Formats: sequence, C-alpha cells, structure tokens
Amino acid sequence: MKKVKLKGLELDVYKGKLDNGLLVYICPMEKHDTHASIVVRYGNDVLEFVPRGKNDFTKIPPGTAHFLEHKMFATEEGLDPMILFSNNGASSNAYTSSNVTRYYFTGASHFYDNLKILLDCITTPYFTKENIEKEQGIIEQEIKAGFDDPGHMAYFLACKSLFKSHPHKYPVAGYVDSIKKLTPEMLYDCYNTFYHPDNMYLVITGNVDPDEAFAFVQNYYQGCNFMAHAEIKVKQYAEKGQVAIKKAVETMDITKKILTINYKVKVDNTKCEKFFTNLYLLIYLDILFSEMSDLYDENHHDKNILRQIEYYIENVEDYVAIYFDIEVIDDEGVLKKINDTINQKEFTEEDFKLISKNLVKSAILSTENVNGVANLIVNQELLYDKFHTDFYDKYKNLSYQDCKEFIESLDFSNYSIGIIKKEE
Amino acid sequence: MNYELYNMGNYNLYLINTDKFKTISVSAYFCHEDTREDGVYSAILKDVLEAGTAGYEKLNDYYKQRLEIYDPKVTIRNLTFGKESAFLLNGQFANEKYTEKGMNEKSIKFIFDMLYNPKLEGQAFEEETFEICRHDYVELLKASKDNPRVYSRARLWEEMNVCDYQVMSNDEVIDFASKMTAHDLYRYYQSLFTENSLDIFIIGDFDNEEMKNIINGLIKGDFKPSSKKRYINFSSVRSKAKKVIEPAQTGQSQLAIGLKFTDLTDFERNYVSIFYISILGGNWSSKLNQVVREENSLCYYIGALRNMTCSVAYIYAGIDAGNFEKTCKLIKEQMQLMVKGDFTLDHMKQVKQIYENSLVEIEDNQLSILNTLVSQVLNDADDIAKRREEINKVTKKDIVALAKKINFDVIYLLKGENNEKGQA
Repeated sequence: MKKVKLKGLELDVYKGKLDNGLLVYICPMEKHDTHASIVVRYGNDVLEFVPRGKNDFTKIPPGTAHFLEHKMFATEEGLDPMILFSNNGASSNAYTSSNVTRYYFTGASHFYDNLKILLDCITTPYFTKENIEKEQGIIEQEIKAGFDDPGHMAYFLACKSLFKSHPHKYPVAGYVDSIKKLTPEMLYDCYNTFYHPDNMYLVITGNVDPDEAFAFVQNYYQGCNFMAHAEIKVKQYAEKGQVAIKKAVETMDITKKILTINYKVKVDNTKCEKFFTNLYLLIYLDILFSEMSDLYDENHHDKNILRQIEYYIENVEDYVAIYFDIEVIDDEGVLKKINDTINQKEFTEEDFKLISKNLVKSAILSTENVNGVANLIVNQELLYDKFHTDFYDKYKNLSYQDCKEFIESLDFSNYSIGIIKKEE
Repeated sequence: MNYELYNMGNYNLYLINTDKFKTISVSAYFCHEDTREDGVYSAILKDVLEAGTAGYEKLNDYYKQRLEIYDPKVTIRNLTFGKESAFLLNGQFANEKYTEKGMNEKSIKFIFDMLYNPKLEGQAFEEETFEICRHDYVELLKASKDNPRVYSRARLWEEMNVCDYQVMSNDEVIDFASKMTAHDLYRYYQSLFTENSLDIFIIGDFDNEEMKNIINGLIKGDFKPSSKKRYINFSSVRSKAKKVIEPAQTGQSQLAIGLKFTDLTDFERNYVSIFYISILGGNWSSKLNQVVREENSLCYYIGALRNMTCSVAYIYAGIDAGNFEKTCKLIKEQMQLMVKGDFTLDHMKQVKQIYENSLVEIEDNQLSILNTLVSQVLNDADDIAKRREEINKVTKKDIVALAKKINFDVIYLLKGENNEKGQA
C-alpha cells in the first residue's frame, strides 16, 4: 500500500490494489468508530451490456441495479446480514444511484466481524424466483412513495425531459411493471459482470490499523473464486446534445407548483480535469444563485416564490446536467430569470474568492468524522477515477481566470422545462 | 465528559473544552412552559430572524458577510419536550486555528447577532420582512398535504391530543398566523428575554476565560431560573382506539398509529422503553420489520419511534390501502407477543450492544457530546457512566411489564386512492 498525506487536514490515506483488481483505500483516524464501504461501479445507467463469460448484449429493465442491491442481502442459509450488523451494534445500509451501488456499515466495535459480513454480503449471491417475487412487493411500495412525492416527481420529469436515449431518463428504482420482468438469470448476469473485484473498491476509515485491515481483505479474497478478468462491454448511447422534451408537464394532487429548468451541457475535459470543471461550474452557480446572489434577494421579496431555488449537477457521459427547481404558488416567470442569469456568464473575482475560501472550510468540516472522510473518497474515486489527496491545496489555489474561461466555453442553450402542478 | 459551569448572573454557561475537533459548536436554549401558540410564533420568528439583521439592506449582503467569516452555520428551532418548550439557537463554525485569527469571536458575534439585532420598526419587526415570512409560512401550510408522510404525522399528533391544550388543526394555524401582526410577534420575541430561562452550551478548542468574556458581552436579558423537567404523564387512556381515515390521490397509503404509555416510572421511561421500542419496531431486526416487511412484503418501511417526555410512541408505515386491515392486525399481534414476552434474550443483547456502542460513539461527535450534556442539564438525564450501569439492569420482566402499559390511542390512515401510480 502507498501512504499519502492529506495536506492541511492532519490525515493519512493508504491506497493499495489486490491481485483480483479490488482497489482499497484506508484512512486511519483517532475515533472510536470505524466505517467501511464497498462500492460497485454499476447503477441504473446500465441497461444493456455483455454479461461476463458471454458474447452477446443483453437487455435488463429499469430498476435492475437497485433490485439487485436489495437481493444481495438474501442468503441461502436465511441469515440476514443487516441483523448480523445490528447484533454487533453497527449501523448499516446500502443505496443505488444512476452510476453506483454502495454497501456500508459504521460501528464502534467488532470491526473485522462486520467487515466479513459486508464482504460475504457482496460475494455470495442467492437469487430465486421465490425470493425475487417476495421483494417485488417491498420495492413496489418504495417506487410508489417516490411517485407520491412532488420533489421526486420533479427530478424524474427533469431526467426524462433531458435525455432521449440514455437510461438516465429512467428512475433508479424503476417502475412497478418493469421490476416484475426480472428473473434470477438477469440478476446473476448483472452480478457476475459488475460485482467483480476489478469493478469495485473498498474504503475504510476510522479506528483501524491499515496494514492489518489490508491483510485481512487480502486473506478474505483468497478464499473466493471469480470469473476471469475481462473488459466490461456496456452499450454506448451516443446521446444527442438536444434535450428530449422542451417542456414536460405532470399533474398531481398538489396545491403548490414545482418548476424545474434543466440544462444539458457538453463539457470538454481534454483541456481541464473534471475535478476542476465540476468545481468551477458549482462556484459559478453559487455566485449566481446561492444566498449571496442578487437573485436570492429578489426572490425573497417575491410572494409567488415559496421556496428558494435549489440546484445541483450530475455528470452523465460527456454532459453535465444542471438541475434547478423551485416551488411557486403559480407564476412561472422565475424560469426566465434563471435562464437569463445563467447565460450572463459574468462574475467578479471578489465573489469567486469568497466562494473558494469557503470550499476550504467545507474541506475541514468534511474530515471531522469517519463517514465524512469515507464519503469524500467514495465520491471522488467514482467521479474522477482517483482520490485527489491534495484537494485542500487545490481548493486554496483555484484560478479565477481558468474558471472564467471555462464558463465562457459553456453553451447553456439546451434546456428543458418541467412543471408539476395540480390537474385543472 | 468534563465541562465548566459558569453562573452568569441570571443564566448558565457550560463550556466543554476539547481539542478533538476542528470546529466549535454553540447551543443556546431559551426554555419556557409550552403553550398552544408557541409553534406558530416560533416558526414565523425563526424565518424573520433568519431574514437578516439590521444594517443590511439586502439579504444577499448579509449572507456575503457570513461568507467573509467562513460561513458559520446558524439555525433556529423550536423544541418541545414534555410540558416545556425551547427556542433553540444553534451555531457551528471552523475553529480559527484552521482559518484566520479572530474568527472565533467574529463567528460567535455573528451567531448571536441573529437573535439580538433583528430588523425593527419601532416596537415591531420590520413590516415588509414580517409580511414575507408570514405569507410564505401560510402558503406552505396550505400545501401541507403535498407531502403525505409529513401531513399524516401532523394529523396523528393533532388527533392524539397529547398536550394540556388542544393542538391547533392546520386550518386553525393558518387562521392564527393570518391574523398575527408584526407587533404580536415582537412581543413574543421580547418574552424570550424576560419569560424564559437561558442555558448556553459551547464545545471546542478555546480559552474558557476568553469565551466567557465574549458571551458576557453579548447576552442581555432578565432571565428566569432554569426549571426542572416536567413530563407529560397519562393515568388513563381511551378504552378503544380512535380510527381516522382520510382520502388522498396518492398511490401509497400512510399508516400512522399513536400509542400512549400509562403510569411510567423514570426507569421505564429512560431505559426499559429503549428495549421495548427497539424490539418492536426500532431497527431492521425488529418484529414489525421482519413480519410486516420481510415475511409479508406489505411495505418498504415500517418503524416505531418513542417520545418519552410526552409518554407516547408512534408506528409509521407506507402500505397499499387494500392491506390496511391486514397490516393493523399484524401490528396488534406483534404487540400482543411483546406482552406475552415472546422475544429472545439475543434480541435484548443486540439492543444493549447497540446502546453501548452509541454511548462510546458520543465521544466521536462534537454535537453528540454537547447534546448529551444538554439532556443531563435540561431533562435530568443520567450521565454516560450511569446510563451504562442502568441499561444492564433491564430484564425481560421489565419489558413485559412496560408492554402492558402501552395503549392504542389513534389509528390514522391517509388512504391512497390512486393505486395505478408508479407504472412506466
């Protein structure tokens, strides 16, 4: 393992790779708690791929990755890993997004017992027709809760309006009817292809000896058999730059109205790393739309606006999707203001420095606990295929000029509008 | 946990000095007897105070100032515990050791400025700010049914009628807020400094004398002495649970069950109830989760929560309307099994392990340390050593005895009538 200092943050991170391809990060911290996350580079954005050991592409329905996450907790012996974690006093959970499935636990004791439970959980699949049918009722309720929530509906609508062919247009949990199509064979194909150590990474933070933990993981995997290493073939969608639907409207039994405006922006990362382009974009959005912006003050005085603008970005292939949502009583005029504002592309160095300075503070806060450090590593490795151990210094030395040039290169003309409102 | 208590005349200052964290956290509790109107006044007051302080014409200038000093987090909440209500000011900021010298004092001043330096017009809050905040609050209340989960929980609380007064319905709150004036709210605000006790808690790495002097220069008011805990107790309850069913155009139905405990001892309230609720519905291995979700696939989530200062507990689940009777029957059966002592010693051992780990984990988290002291001071909770001792005294017999003291009070269903939701 290689040891690297997290500059300015009084922490060391160890990085190593097992022979089977599993990447391991370990960050020892003076805490009682220890956290471990096993991360699979597979989420709902994969709906067509060549299963490991086979030759032809196969299709799976939306919601498969999420369903698989649920079923990884099923065991042939009937032992429930979540109960085993609880017996050791640890909290545990898992989630699936468009590009990742993550399983994790945090606990103040029995670390190696818990780590074994976690690794057992993702190395011993057990899928049957019966246990799939049983899970469908549970996930059906999870899906319905999402469709009853106006905020979730706004996000679903935004994705559907932005992407024409890419699976990012589908909800991560899928639909009530799509998950009914799942079979044990489909789940095994996904498991064998994506739950291979060469497509996963492990992050451990907290009260742990790095050498001992690494040796434990190495030893654990010696008893496991996996299919041979192979390049994973996933369908490429060649998503077009234009949005799929210019204006999408969904009705629900609600009183307020939720508006979204969503941008699909092609980003060229050949000149500037994704780490910086994401940061520059977020700084730009903060200057124009956060509490420090003129628009925030203007909206505060606008009685039509019930909740201030919220915004976030996602990386989907070569695009950055920028989502804005806002709750209003009725009037939709605020969407024009958002569009005019994002296109102004002007901001002062003073405002840029103000936001950059606070990135440094957020770096400090994120390293206060074991879960925070784990999240940092998990997210950076996923987004950038590496952990920027010098991120604190990078935050301190961000360039206004580079940011300005990058923002000027962006085209904000491809956007969609989503409206969630009461049926008239 | 070591702390220093300073008697500051008519309020108390608790300083916890530790160099384990990079941040400093502050909590100020203004406590008084809970009244029927408290929730409405404090909700609007929170928004008015958060809308900036005197001296800033524009809201974004106020937030820019906050960014200049590394963005201290400030939040205001209203908490009810038993018959007491607390108006709570929370702040957290990066220690100046990691930012710039002088920032600790500036941050503390900024946090308390929110409370002591609001925008006023004579003996009232600035009319425009008040109007915006009141208007938004009323409009959000009108839209409360848009979030079925939150709405069903509020309706359950209303139907349970736990307090000494009749809890206001949503319509009554709207009516009351609509009639409120900026003068009315200002009078309520002033009462914080005349009709409340004040306890301030600060944790972090700082010089105690320096911190004491900063606080001394900021706090003004004629505070009352801190009062001792006053829990809500029930000696009698309904002979039959009240059933309330309301229709909604959702796909999922929200089941919310209210339970009341009678004649609790302090030991039952503080320790035995932890076992009862955890085993019944507190975590993954709980009876409700295993039976209702895992065995019968009726829901995605089901859980039990306790609110022991009010001697009540709740069970929440998201289900299909058609499964309402079946779910209630299963819940009742599991509660009957608790009365019969049909739970394992292993399950008790698990609850104890989780509790003991949670006590160890307190030291890992700055806010947990602070909140532990708060509960000792304001709720007469035991210290950590005593808690460790007491939890080991709980027997199966104690849990069965408590199970006999729990009574169904209200069974509330927000009945989803749009079962087709969630399809592709």
